[in-house]
Amino acid sequence: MSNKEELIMANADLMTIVAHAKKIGWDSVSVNTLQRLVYLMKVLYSFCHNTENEFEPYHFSVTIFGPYSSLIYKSLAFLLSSQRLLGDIDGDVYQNSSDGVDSISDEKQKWIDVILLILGKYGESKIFSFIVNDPQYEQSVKANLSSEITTDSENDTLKVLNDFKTAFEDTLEDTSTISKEEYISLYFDFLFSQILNKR
Amino acid sequence: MVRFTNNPEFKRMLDEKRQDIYHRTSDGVQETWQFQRLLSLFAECRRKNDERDYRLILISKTDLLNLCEDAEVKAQNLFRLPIFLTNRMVYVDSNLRVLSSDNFVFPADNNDARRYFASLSATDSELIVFHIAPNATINYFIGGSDYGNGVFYTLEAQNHYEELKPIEQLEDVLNDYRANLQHQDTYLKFFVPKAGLRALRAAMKSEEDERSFLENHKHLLNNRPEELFREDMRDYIKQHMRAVVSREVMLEDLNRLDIKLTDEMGNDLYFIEVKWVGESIHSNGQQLGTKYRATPRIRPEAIKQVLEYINQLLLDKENVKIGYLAVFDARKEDKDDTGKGIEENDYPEELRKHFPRFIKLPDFRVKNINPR
Repeated sequence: MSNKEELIMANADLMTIVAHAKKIGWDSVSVNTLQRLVYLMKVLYSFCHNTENEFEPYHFSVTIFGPYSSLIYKSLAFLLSSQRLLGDIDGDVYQNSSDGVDSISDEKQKWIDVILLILGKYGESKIFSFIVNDPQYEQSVKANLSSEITTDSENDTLKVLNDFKTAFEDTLEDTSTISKEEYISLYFDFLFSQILNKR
Repeated sequence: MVRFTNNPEFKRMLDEKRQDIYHRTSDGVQETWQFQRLLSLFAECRRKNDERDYRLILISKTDLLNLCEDAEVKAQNLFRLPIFLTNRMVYVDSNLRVLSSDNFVFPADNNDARRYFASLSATDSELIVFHIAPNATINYFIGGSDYGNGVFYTLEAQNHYEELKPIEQLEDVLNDYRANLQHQDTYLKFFVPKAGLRALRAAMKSEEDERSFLENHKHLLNNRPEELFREDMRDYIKQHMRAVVSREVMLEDLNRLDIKLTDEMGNDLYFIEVKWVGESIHSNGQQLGTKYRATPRIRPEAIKQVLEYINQLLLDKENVKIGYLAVFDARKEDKDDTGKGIEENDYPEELRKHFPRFIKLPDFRVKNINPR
């Protein structure tokens, strides 16, 4: 994918995410939250899909405030300058146009909704806590990696999630009603309990 | 890495939560996107519209499954309607229009209230009952069952979490921590125990009698005390604050921040540089180790270091608010605060401008009052 194609893709993704976030009551989304959301969408993608990761072109590195992708940064600059998104002084952006919204595959839209609905329950303010507790991110911070965070299908987050799923299968007689998306939801539920208990 | 398989504690938890998990994933309601969307919407609307009272919102299962497309707009409107604001309970349809309302007082006893709300959901009309707390916590009742919390977390844990102090109150928390350092259980871990001092006396071939040696060296800190101090302070902050606390975060120029704190949203950055003054034992336990005095260790070295970190963070375009210097004072005698006499002119001109973001906390005095 050329740089231009990547930017067009990111523009459509971000417009769709901001528009869909509105449906769970987030009228605006902070720039940092967008970075974190796309990171989670990418790192968790292979848990539910066997196809190529639709968020592949995003490359993240570790910063003090969480994962950072320059593609998202460039796309936000473009969307703000073209006034498809408007921003306020707090670093929040909100939708000002429907240009690009839902101009991505149905599969990708569905995945964006899955992650938004799981996180929506806890509120935007908790996403940072989920990120700093994300196994792959945590590992990258511990290793002081200044290079790209590994988000391939072998990443630590997926290993932990698969292990989580196996524990369910080993313990409960019937796990046929639990979808892959539900496992992610239950995993965040568990993670939230750890955050509340400050473990 | 966290392990769930072969983890007896986690498996026991799954066993206990078995019913909750089955209901959540297969009751035809909780796993639907309409339900999840409504849950997020109600929580978000409560966060945006402050309220001191609890609210009940009832919706039939059929209406929930036919939830309108623009529910985000209608939920916002609902939370601002006079009929919603003046009634504890509203019954809504798929367009979140109020069908009926009631302002009855909820049962005072928690269990009675829970049973009552559950009974509302156990009728033939298959009502879903959302119970919304002022802090945006939502309990819900479906088919006579209570699904108040997540599968893994309790309401008590959530309430406790809400009571933790926000990052703006860091200095209050550190004042409490300072008082906590006077407790024997807290301070003992920093100092060489009596047995270690006896071994030191023998290794040093000291002619001082044992009692006097123990008294004269009871202020001796364990080896590498900076790690003990840093971890102790970090754990205390973590237990008492809602902030996200990380340790030894690397800056781009490869320096490390001892304790990094960000607000829950991860937007505002605060950091604490931890230093100590006093004397520690050598790692071999056979001789005295490092000794630090207020000058030059704190003034000017540590202060310059904090100012340099602030400078670096600002250059890296990080949203740094305040850089704190915390000094653990384990000196043998009671002395003036290590920050006494700080002169801005003693520091390089390019760093002086960062003094407004720099706070030297009053020393954290650690004294081995009753050694063991």
